[in-house]
Amino acid sequence: MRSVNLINRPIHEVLEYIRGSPELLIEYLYRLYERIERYEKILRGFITIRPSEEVIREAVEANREGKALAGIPIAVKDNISTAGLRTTCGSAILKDYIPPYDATVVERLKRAGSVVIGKTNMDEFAMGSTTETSFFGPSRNPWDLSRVPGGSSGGSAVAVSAYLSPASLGSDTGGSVRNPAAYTATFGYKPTYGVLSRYGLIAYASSLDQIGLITRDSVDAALLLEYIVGEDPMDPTSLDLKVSGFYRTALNMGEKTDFPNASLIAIKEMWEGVEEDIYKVVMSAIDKLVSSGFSYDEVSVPEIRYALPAYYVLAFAEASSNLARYGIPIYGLKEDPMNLPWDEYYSKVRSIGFGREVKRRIMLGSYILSAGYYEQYYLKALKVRRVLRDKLLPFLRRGYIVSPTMPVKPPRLGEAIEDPIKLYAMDIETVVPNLIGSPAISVVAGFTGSLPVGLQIIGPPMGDKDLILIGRAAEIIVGYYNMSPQI
Amino acid sequence: MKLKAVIGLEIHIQVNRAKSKMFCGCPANYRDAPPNTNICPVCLGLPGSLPVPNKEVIRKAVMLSLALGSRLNNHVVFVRKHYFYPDLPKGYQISQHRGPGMAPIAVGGSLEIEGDLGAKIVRIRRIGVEEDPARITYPYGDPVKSPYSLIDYNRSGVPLIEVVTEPDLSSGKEARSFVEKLLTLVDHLGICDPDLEGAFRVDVNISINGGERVEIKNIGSIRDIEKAINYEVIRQSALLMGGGVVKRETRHWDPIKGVTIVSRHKEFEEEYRYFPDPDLPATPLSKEMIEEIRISMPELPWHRAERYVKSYGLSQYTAKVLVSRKVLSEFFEETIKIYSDASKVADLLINDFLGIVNSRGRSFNIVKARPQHIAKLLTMLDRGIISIKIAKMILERVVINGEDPEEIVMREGLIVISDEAELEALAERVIRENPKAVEDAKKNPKAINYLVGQVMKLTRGKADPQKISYIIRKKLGISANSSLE
Amino acid sequence: MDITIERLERLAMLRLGGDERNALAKDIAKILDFFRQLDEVELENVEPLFHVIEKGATVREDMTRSGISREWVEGSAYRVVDGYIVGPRTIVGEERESHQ
Repeated sequence: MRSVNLINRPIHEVLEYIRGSPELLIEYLYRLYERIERYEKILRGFITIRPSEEVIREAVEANREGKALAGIPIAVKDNISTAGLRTTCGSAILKDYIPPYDATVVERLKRAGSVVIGKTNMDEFAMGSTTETSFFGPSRNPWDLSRVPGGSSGGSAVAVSAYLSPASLGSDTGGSVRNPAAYTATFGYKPTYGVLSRYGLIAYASSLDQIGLITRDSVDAALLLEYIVGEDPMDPTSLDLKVSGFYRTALNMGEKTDFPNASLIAIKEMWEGVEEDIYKVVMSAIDKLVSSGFSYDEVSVPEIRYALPAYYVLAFAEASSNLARYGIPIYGLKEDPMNLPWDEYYSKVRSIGFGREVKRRIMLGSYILSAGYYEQYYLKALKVRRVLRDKLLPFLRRGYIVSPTMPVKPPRLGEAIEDPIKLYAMDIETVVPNLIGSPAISVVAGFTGSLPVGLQIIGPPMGDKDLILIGRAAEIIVGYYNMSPQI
Repeated sequence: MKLKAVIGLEIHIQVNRAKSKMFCGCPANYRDAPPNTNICPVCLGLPGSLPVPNKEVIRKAVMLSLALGSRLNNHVVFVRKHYFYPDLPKGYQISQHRGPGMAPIAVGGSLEIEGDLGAKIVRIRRIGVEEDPARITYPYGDPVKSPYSLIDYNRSGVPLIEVVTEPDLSSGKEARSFVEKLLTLVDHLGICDPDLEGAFRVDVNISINGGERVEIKNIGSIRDIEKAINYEVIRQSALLMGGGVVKRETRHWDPIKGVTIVSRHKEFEEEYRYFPDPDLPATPLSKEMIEEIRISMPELPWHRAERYVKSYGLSQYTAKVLVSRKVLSEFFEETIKIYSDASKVADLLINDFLGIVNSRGRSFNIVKARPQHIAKLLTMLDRGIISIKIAKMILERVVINGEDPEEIVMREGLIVISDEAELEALAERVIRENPKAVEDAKKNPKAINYLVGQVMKLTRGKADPQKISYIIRKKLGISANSSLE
Repeated sequence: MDITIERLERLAMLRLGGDERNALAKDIAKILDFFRQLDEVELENVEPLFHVIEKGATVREDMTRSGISREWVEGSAYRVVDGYIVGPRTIVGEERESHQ
């Protein structure tokens, strides 16, 4: 039997080999585990890695049963519930929490024949942009080990870019899938709000959260999407997006394909504060697209400047509410409740269990929602949200909004930005689609030195398919996809 | 000092007729389940769980709002009401509230009751839908003595409909009437079986003579509502008359001691941080949907009672008792399909039948009798086959065991003894054996009842007491004009 | 800032140490300033956008489905007694009472 090195290949290529060939699947999985063994201690992309015997056994079974995903492994961000497998949200307060149920998206992937290989590292409760607030310690960027991989789905991006897993599930509330995708030269996709079920996604900000995909290229995202979309009766905010067949379209796109005649629109205010070298790389990517027939336009939407404060007001407020449940002695960090009055018990557990950033956000969020401030902050932010949506939807109807995914290069570890406002300002481009419910992707625009730079493309709500196809076009034209760092 | 009490009520009605909980598919009826066996990720508030509203509960809330004449909102909006307590797994309760971007399912409306001074209209402030918290019990019976609490999440997430009144009530009696009428209404609308344990809880807000408002929380029975209010009025009046001042506070009713006690519970000034639940975008409530619900509404209890008075000539009182439980009124209607004397059926049902049910915990679940059983019983009585005494004796078995009355009578030989000769013989024996009583009877005709009773004993109730009395009087030569029984 | 850290702690059910408190006070002041930028936007006749999903929450039929077993609870909770989950006392803490 011929041995094939499938490492570094996207899933759509791996599947061609392993379908009906459990031996090749086993070899592939062994190689993955070898890499994990070799690189994980430096990269620290995972919080929990499942034992290889279990994963291989399940994968082979799925393969033998002829399931569509034939045993392909997937890494899952540790804020997505996996039955029987520890789910920590990167927090001490859930460090021993074992959910009794699978998130719908996980269940659907398993049903299609995929196997969960492990749970990836993340900023605590998804609150952060660098994966440095994880209780389990930070992850490292495979492209530059002294730098962060981005966040909050940093571990998911590490796993995919260092090929410890061919794809990952992440979550995106204000950029948490696109940010690390940009920083690790992988493809990141945040769906239209509602397209992927949130049942089982441990909530940070309910009206902004979505599960997202981090993959080697856009075709893999299209492929996986088919198995996980669809209305979910367990999620009252889920929508029905029909995607069958579009993976083939993505796959068949090539240099000579007639690309959908798309307009690219840049909103000036989204580019304010972008570092010079990032700007250059992204503009050169856009130039390539324009040369291939895309049109490009620059417009001004001054209200964009308020997207960031509006986003943070909403995120903090909803987070304070969603995290009000932690401390209860049913699961997670617990103390002996005997003799303690309830308020002392709760404060104690929560104060020990939550990290500093989380505490900050919960306290501010509670303040925003309290009587007297609700109108001043929360309602105002919701109004700004409407203004932004009303202003941006007309652009999204005639084209795609483009920007750098991130305004700065990936910070060095521990460059721990002491100023919270500077930290939040990293999200300036990525929060916009979350606020208005639009889908968004990050493709590789190029490199500055050896550091990846991402191009963000935002599409209209429910326009996920076309957006991923545009992403495919961009990948082909700009020329960067399925990239591998030298570790 | 003239005392004017101003009372408002907050009534939480459990939608225990729903099949499932408010936001998940766990059964709504948790009563027989061992603790923590009626749970799922949603009602436990596990991380990642999401609430999905029960359509039927929303329908029922709309129905109740229509019955009370309330104004429905054009959307169903849920909010999060935050407070930290072990019975609230998410740290917030999904509920409804009035505020920017938030509204209860309906506002306004009213219910008329028989007040202390005549008919009184009690205005409704609002109607809302929410979820029940979990149940806390204490190892040593009370929170102060117990070093820990015991939590059972079976009840967590059960649907509740909250009805809040304006402070239009003036006494414990009025409050009780209101709640009784409301419970009859939700019974007939198929929302709640009021006799199940925990079916409703009432919070009472009461102030005397414009003083501070005291809240008495979590009263669980109709009788206790009246008692608690009466006690509180006395307590507050005594305080005022002694020159004291009533403090604004929360109390709870101790049914054993019969007093209200200041709560040492969590009620420090609550900041609920209400905001529209971001997991539950507002769902439109269309005019068509409302109309469809209005058309499908069951007959309201007071309309049913009126119909009984008009169609069957029943008294207001009888009709009222019959409709006090929907299942009782339905039993009545089924029975008179077979046996047409409505008054006799009504009489039996509201007295003996209801008496049996009430003596065994008030729930109609224990009733095994069918309408044809009652019809048969009444028919046998009409035809003189059995005496009233025998009828009353076997009724309990008919009701509780569902035994066929005709079979009982046949099997156990309970047919009335009408053989004159037999009765004469028995009367003579009793007269012989009770000379003292005979003497008494001759002096005081009323004392004949003792002798009649003795014969009844011998016949084991199977004779007509009037016949026996007639025979005895004849034998003793006492005039028939004396009053008996 | 017109609200105390103590009050924020109460609202969030947290208790911070001295250093944490000081650092937080500074951060919070900065962040609230940042939020106040929202005051610059003209929002006179704008309705808040509570949800991007316009059709409303999906509702469900009144049907039962199976839940989770008590075994999971027993394995996960700190302590279970006769099937009940053991929780702290429900009276208000002494420390808080002295604040009132």
